[in-house]
Amino acid sequence: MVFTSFHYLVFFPMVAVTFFAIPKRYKNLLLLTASYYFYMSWVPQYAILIAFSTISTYYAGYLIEKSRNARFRRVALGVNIFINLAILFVFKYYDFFVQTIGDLAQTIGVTVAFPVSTLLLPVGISFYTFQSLGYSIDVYRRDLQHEESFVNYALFVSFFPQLVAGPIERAMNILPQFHRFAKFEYDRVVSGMRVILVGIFKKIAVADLVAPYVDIVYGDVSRFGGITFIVATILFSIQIYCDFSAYSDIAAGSARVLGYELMGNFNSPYFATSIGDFWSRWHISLSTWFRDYFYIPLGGNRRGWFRRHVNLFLTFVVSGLWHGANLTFIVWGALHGLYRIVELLLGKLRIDVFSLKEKRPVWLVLTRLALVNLLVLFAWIFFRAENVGDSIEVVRKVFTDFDPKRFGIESRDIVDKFLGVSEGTVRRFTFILYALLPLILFVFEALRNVRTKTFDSNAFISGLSLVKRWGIYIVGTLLIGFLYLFENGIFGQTGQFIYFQF
Amino acid sequence: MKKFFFKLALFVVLLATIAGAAVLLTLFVAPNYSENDYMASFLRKYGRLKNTEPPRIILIGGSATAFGLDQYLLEEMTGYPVVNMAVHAGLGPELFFAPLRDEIGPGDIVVICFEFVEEWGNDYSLLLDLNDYTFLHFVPSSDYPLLARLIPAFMVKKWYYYIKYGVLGRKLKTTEESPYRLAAFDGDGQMIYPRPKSLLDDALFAEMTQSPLNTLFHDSNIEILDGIYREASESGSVVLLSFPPVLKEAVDLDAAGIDKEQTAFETKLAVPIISKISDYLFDRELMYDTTYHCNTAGEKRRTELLGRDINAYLAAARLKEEYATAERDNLFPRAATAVLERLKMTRATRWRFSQTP
Repeated sequence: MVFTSFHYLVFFPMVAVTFFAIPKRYKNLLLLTASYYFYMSWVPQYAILIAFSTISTYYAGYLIEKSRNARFRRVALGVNIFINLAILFVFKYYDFFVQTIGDLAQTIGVTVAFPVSTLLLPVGISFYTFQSLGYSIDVYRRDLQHEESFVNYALFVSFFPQLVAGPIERAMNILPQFHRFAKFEYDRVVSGMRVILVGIFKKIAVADLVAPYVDIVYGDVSRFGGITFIVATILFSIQIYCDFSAYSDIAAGSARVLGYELMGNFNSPYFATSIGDFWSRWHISLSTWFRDYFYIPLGGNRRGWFRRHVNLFLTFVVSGLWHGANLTFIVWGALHGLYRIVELLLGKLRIDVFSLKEKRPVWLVLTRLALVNLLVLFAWIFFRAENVGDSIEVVRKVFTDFDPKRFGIESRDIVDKFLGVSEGTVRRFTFILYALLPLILFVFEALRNVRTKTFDSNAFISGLSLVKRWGIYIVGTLLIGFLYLFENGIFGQTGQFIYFQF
Repeated sequence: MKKFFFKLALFVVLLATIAGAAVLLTLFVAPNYSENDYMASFLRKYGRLKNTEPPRIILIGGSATAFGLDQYLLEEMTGYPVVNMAVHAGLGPELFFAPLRDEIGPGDIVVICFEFVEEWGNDYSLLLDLNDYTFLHFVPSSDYPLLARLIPAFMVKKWYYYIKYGVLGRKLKTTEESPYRLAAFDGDGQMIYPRPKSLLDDALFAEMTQSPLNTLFHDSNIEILDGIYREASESGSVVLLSFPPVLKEAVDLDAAGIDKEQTAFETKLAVPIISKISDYLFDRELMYDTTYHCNTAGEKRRTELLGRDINAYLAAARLKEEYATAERDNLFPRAATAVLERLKMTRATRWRFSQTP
């Protein structure tokens, strides 16, 4: 059940209305049932996996908390981590692993044939596995008390707004909220719906609009020229941000309607002025998870200059691998690791030169912003390409195949291909949308960053007069409906959220 | 909660009203700049269909038959009134046949001349572009969601035309000399635009990368053709399959290869085939501007070939009927001798005889 589907449009109001109508003691049970229904709308059998992970982690948490034997606690935690990672490995990484071993063996002339699994990747498996791991580690560290209520714990793992694509919630944030039952509050519900509307706008009006261009170009790397790849990569950077942050927005908005606050997952990442800054703004729930449960246990920055950089690099590589069983994701993570290390090394110089200035000059901010975005864009090539060979071909073309005339012809052909017809009027309209809609988003993001302390789009809209506020709601909803039909009529189905596959 | 639901209901009503008004405004109030377009010839063709009585020859297909058939010449050759409903391949089989459903009757001969498309689809946007919404009732109810999805693109086009031609006063393309306008057709939907020579120079040909025949023998097409055959047969009409004219250079296979493919195709099909694809492969001098569009000479040549094929089929069908009558009335061997006398046919006619049901 995709958030932007008719199915969710019926499902969510039904759940919300029932939630506010029934007595408190049934509310969490309702949400748990709804969450399993939500999850089973993909592949019903995979509910067994999430149930198994839930039960094993719940009892691991119980044993870890109750035991006073440090060794037993460590073993219980280890077994739980092993079970969760084993499930993840079998369903997500097994094929990649055996194929890599086979390829490596082939290079030394040995043929190794492992059986290949035909299992489908369960939706959201990386998200709920990491959430479960985080819980058991928190209990082990005694940062968190074991949740006595199994229903509440099961709901923490499977809470439908954030189940399949995050944010990767912390038990410390969400579990206490499951003990409080919010009443229906007009302002909160409207505020949640506003966030949902913004998310749907990002997904349908921007991400799904640019997706076909990117898919066509990256689907056939031998066919297109360098400029087309530059444009496709810029469009991909817009697509992935709007797609993923849209999911987080709709998740946060849905949860807020029900009275729960999820952690923030994005904060205008393309306005970052350093790679470190980028990672404090992009997929925040994942980067903080890796910081707390991987980087710091590895030793973090406490074990000297060399280990600090090794730990950092490893963290980025593993976070790349988290995204998928493909070398491209590992390269993407490694690139960001390298960027960050170089940035840290150069940081000392930067501090020496600029630290005395209270306010950084605008030219410097803009230069750093451009540089960070160029580096991030370069890394997106590896993230989006089907394999490393394709990524290298794209990089080669970006730097050597530079023909503006070819770009014009190719862009027309690409748009015609996904429009299905060579219709000049609709093609021109599509080009206008390509330029206009990301620009609207950019203006909003820029406003938020330039006037950080004063601009909050939610507060901004709620502060407007009734007529203006309703004008925004109606125009926004009509535009979403129009583009949804336009994209469906022309392109076929609107896309799944990209991060479902992770 | 009451306040919330009241406002939500109000919001939904406002939204539906504005969206509905915008759609209605586009459909019925915005000026129509497509009334002189090529597609508008479909209305004239449909008018002719409604104004003629069975028995008739009715042709359905895409622009290859709109450009490649002289209906008056075919009338002369066959003795039947001819309705050429062919207009645009994008309409697809459902929309080719739907206007015929309530009109055809016993004695009508429906000749299918579809272009070679791997999987035919129905492009309802072409119906919207007609701006004559009476045609929308030909859309099956199961496809209403598909139709709804086309409305935004239609709205974009219609308002864009309004701004371009109505507000900015740009010159309408349909006023230019071209066969792609309503004025290229007469009142009966016959193309009358003179196309004395081929426009297919090497540069234009190089842009045409398709090899049409490669996509003909797709299994899903057999189902569609037989579906039309069954449905039309129930109304007492005869359904025959012929082929569009195609530029010979654009085809990869040679004549023998095409015949072989066609024979294999025929064995899977219930609808009788009256033509040979290889007869309809035309040289460049008979074509106009695409691999499917004939010039005036090509139109004449194609009509002669089709007239010959239809007549051969009708002759063979009559022969079979006579043979069956003789058999029924126990008139053999006298009648059989007469029939065998008449079976001194050309090789081509003998081949067609085998195709009659």
